[in-house]
Amino acid sequence: MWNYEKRLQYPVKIKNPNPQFAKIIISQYGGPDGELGASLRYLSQRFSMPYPELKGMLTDIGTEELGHLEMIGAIVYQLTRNLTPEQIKKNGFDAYFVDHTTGIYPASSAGVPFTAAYLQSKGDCITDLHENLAAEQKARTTYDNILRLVDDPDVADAIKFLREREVVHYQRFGEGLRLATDRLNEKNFYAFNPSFDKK
Amino acid sequence: MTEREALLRKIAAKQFAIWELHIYLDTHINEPEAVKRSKKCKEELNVLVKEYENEYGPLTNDCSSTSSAWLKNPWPWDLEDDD
Repeated sequence: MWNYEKRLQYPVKIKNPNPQFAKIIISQYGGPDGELGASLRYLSQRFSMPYPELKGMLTDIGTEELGHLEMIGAIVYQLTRNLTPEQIKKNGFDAYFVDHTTGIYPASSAGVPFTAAYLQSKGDCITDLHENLAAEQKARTTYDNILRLVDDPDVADAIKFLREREVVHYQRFGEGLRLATDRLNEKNFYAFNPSFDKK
Repeated sequence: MTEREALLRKIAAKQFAIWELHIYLDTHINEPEAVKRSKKCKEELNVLVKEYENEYGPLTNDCSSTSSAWLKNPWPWDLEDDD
């Protein structure tokens, strides 16, 4: 079960609409390393996680990613308000606009719709935790790239917060991996999959 | 920044500290310093949330408030200046 809080995890308040930035940032909504994939990845993987710390961590981080999805939606929404058809055409937002107007749709910056092929849930805690460590770094790189392309301080402020969360989650997943391997055969971590093999 | 936004930022900062300690405790079970700080932040948060909800309506749907207060704008993605 989940409860909703009527607030964002970190405030988003963008004074100047900018459809060009919106087109870039939508990738973190429904793109290959975006927040929708992150939340589905962790919230799906947790069912087969063997240890209580890992179940808790995946639940908590997966939940936080839903909050990040909401922040990205708020950023894109605020960047696309009060646009004229001229602004939409001039800034390359027309390809998105024709299908979605200014609705928030999970797709990459290049327009590829969200797909579950962006994530994996492998039923093996070592494999899944490595997937998650990689996912956090890929998202961190994407946020770094967004910061290279966006010069509005209102936008950069929220993006920097999200970038930092990737670094913190990477740290937590690394600790989770260590907790898992501490309970496995130290000479061969792969001899036994605690999610599947019977002792 | 409106008074409502300023108060909501204080709440978000407190909630963030509590959340950060919460996920830290997932891998550092019952670490005493983190538990202590989390407890202190939660007490401070409760005071701020009560102040906010009295003035501006519920932050969560388990708040003993009317449905019209829950529905009231702004929602988290809205800009108050646009209202």
